[in-house]
Amino acid sequence: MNPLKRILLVDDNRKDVELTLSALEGHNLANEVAVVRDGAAALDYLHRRGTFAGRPGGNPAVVLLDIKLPKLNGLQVLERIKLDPSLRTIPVVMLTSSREEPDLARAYELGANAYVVKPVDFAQFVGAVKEVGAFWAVVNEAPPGSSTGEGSP
Amino acid sequence: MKFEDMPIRRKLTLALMLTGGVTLLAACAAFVAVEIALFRRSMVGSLSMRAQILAANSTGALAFEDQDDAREVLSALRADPHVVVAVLYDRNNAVFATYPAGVPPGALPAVPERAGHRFTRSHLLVYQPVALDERWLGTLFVQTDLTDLWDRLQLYALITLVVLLGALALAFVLASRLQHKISQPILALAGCAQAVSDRKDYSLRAAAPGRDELGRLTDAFNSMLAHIQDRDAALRASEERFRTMADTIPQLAWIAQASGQVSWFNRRWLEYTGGRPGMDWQQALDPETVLEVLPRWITAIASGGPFEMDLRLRGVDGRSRTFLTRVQPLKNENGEVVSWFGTNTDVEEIKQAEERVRLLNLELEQRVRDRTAQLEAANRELEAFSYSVSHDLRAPLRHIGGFVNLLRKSAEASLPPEGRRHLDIITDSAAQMGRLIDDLLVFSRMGRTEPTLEAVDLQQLTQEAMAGLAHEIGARNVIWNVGSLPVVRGDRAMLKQVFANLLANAVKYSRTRDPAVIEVGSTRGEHDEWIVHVRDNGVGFDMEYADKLFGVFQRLHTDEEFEGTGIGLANVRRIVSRHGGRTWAEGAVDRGATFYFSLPNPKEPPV
Repeated sequence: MNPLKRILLVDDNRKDVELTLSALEGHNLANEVAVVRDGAAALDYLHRRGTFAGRPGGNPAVVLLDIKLPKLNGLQVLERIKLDPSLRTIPVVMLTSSREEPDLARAYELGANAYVVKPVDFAQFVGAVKEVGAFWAVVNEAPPGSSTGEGSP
Repeated sequence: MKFEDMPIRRKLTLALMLTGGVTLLAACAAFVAVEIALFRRSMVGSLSMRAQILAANSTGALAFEDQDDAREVLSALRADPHVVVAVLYDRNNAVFATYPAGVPPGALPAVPERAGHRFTRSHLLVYQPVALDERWLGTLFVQTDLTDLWDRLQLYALITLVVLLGALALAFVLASRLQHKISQPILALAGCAQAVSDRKDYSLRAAAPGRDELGRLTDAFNSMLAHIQDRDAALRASEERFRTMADTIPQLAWIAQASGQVSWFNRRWLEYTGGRPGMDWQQALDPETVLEVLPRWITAIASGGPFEMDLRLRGVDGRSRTFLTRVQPLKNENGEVVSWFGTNTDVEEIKQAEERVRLLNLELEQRVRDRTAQLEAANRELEAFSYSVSHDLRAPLRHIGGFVNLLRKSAEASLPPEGRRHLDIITDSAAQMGRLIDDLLVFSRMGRTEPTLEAVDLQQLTQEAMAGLAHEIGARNVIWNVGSLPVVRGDRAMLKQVFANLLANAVKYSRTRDPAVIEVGSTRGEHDEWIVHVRDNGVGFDMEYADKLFGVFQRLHTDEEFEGTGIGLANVRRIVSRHGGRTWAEGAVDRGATFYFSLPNPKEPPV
C-alpha cells in the first residue's frame, strides 16, 4: 500500500506540476507529493472516495491549490475544505498565476492560510514553492490527524 | 309726534310760543291775584263800615230791648241784595233780631264768634260788637254772598283768555318769522347733506348764512366735502390706474366679494373665456377639474387664507389650458376678508415644457442606465479578460522560463557558449514579457477600480516609497530633499503606486549622477489644489516629447539605456486623473526632470 503523501498538489497544468515537483526536489519533498488534476478529484482524495477510496487514512500536512481548475475551481475547493469539520484544520496554500485582487481577497475570506503568486521567473518560482512546501510540510507542526511523513529528512 | 322727531322749524316755533305763553300767563295770574286781593279787602272794608253803622244804630234798640226797633234798623240792609242774613245778638249772646225777619234759628250761628271778619267758600262773615260808651250791649253778625267777587273773577278770566290768545297769535306770527332765520341755514345744510348722500356728488356746497356757529358749521361741512371730493378723485384715479393695469397685464384677473361672488373681471379674462361680466369664475373651470378645485376654494373662503393651485380654465375656443391661480384675501383692519383678488397666469407652455423636460429626463435616465449597463458589461468583460490574461498568458511564460532552467541544469555543460547565450535570451525575454503583463494588468486594474477615499498622508507615502527603493539604490549616493507634504483625500493604495512610480523613475534616471539629488515637495495651486512635484538631477528629457511621457508603452530611452515597460507614468496619469487631478512634466536633456501632479482641494471632492 502506498504511504500517505504529506503534500497534496492540485493543479491541472502538467507543466506547472512538473516545475513544482522539480522545485520541491530541492527539499527532497517530491516523493511526498500527491497530484490531482481538478477540484473534484482533490475533494475525492481528501474524502478517500472514488479512485482514492483505497489511499491510506489521514490528512495531508498541506494542500497546494491552484485557483483555475476544471470542474470545481480552487476557491470552491477551499470553501468546502474549510466548511468540513474533518478537513478544515488542513493548511491550504493558494498557489496561483493570478495576481488579481478579488481572488486574493476571496481566498483569505474563505480561510486560505497563504496565497502565493507563481512568478514567471523560474528562480523566484522555485524559491516560492520551496519555501511554502518546506514551511507547511516540514517546519509547521501539522494538526492532529495529519500524516507523520515517512521518509522525511 | 315726539318732540325729538319734530322738524326743527316747528320745534323753534313751539319753543318761542311756549315761552311767550307761559310768561304772559304768569303775568296775568299775578295781575288777577292782586286784583282779587284788593277787591276782597274793599269788600271787607265796606261791609265792616256798614256793620259799624248798623251797630251804632242798634245800640238804642238793644239798650231798651226794643226788638221791633232792632228789626227796623236791620231792614236797612235790604238795599244791598248781596246781604244774605244779619243777626243781632244781645248781651247774653241770644238771638235778639234777624234779617230777614223770621229766619229759623237753626240756619243761624247759635252764638256769635269773636269780632272780625271771615271768608267761607261762598260767603263773607262779619262780627261787629255793639257798645255804648264803653258798655258792651251785644254783637251784630252780617253775612254777604260773594257773587260780585265771582263775577269779577269771570271777567278777569275772560280778559286774560282774550289777551293770551291774541298774544299767542302774535307770538306765532313773530316766531314763524324769527325761526326762519335760524332754521333756514340748518335746513339748507341738511338738504345739502341729503343731496350729497343721495347723489354721491361731492362737488355740492352748502351756502354759508353768516359768521355764527351755523356759519362755521357750514364752512366745516363744506371743507369736509372738499376733502372727500379730493379723496374721491384720488380714489377714482387710483381705481382707473388699477383697471388700466389690470386690463393690460397678460394674466386673467378678477375681484370677488367676501362670499366668493365675483364682482369684476379684467378684459383678458373676458377675452379668454368669452364670458360676460356677471359670470362666476368657476364657470370657466374645466369640468374635469371642478371637483378638485371647488372644495379647496370653499375651504379658502371659509378660512380666509390665500388660495393657490394650478387649474385648467376653458377658453372661448373650447380648449382648456393650465393656469397658475393665486387668490389673495383683502382684509379690513379687523382682519375680516372684504374681497378676494384673483389672478390666473397661463402656465400651459411651462407645464408642457416641464413635461417635455420630464420625459427627456426619463429618456436620459434610461439612456444613462443603458449606458451604465453597457459599461458594466464591458467592465465585466474586461475583468474576465484580465483574469484570463493574468492566468493564461503568464503560465506559458513561466513554463518557458522554467523548462529553459531545467534544460540548463541537465544540458548546460554540453552546450556551446552561443547556445547558453540563447538560453539566457529566452529566459530574459520570458521574464520581460511577464513584467509587461503584470504592469499592464495593474494599469487595467487602476482604470476599473473605484478609488476608496480616505485621508492619506503623502509624507508617509513618500517615506514608504523611499524605503521600497532601498534595494534599487544599493550603494549609490542619493540625496533626498523631502519638503512638507499635505494630508489629502484619496485612495491610499493608488496614491502609493503614484509615489512608487515617480520616485523609482527619479532614482532610475539619475543613476549616472553622483550624487543623485531627488527633491519631493508641494505647493498650493489655483482653487486651493495641491501640486506635488518630484524633481531629479538625472538625464532629463527633450520637452518636444513631453506629451509622450504619460502614454502607455511610450518610452524615450532604449531598454539597454534604462529598462522599463513604459507603463509606470501612464499609471500615474490614470490614477491622478481618477482623483480629479492633472499630471505634467518639465525637463531638458541632461538637466534633470520634474514631474508634477495636482490633487483637488478636499472641499471639492474628486468624483
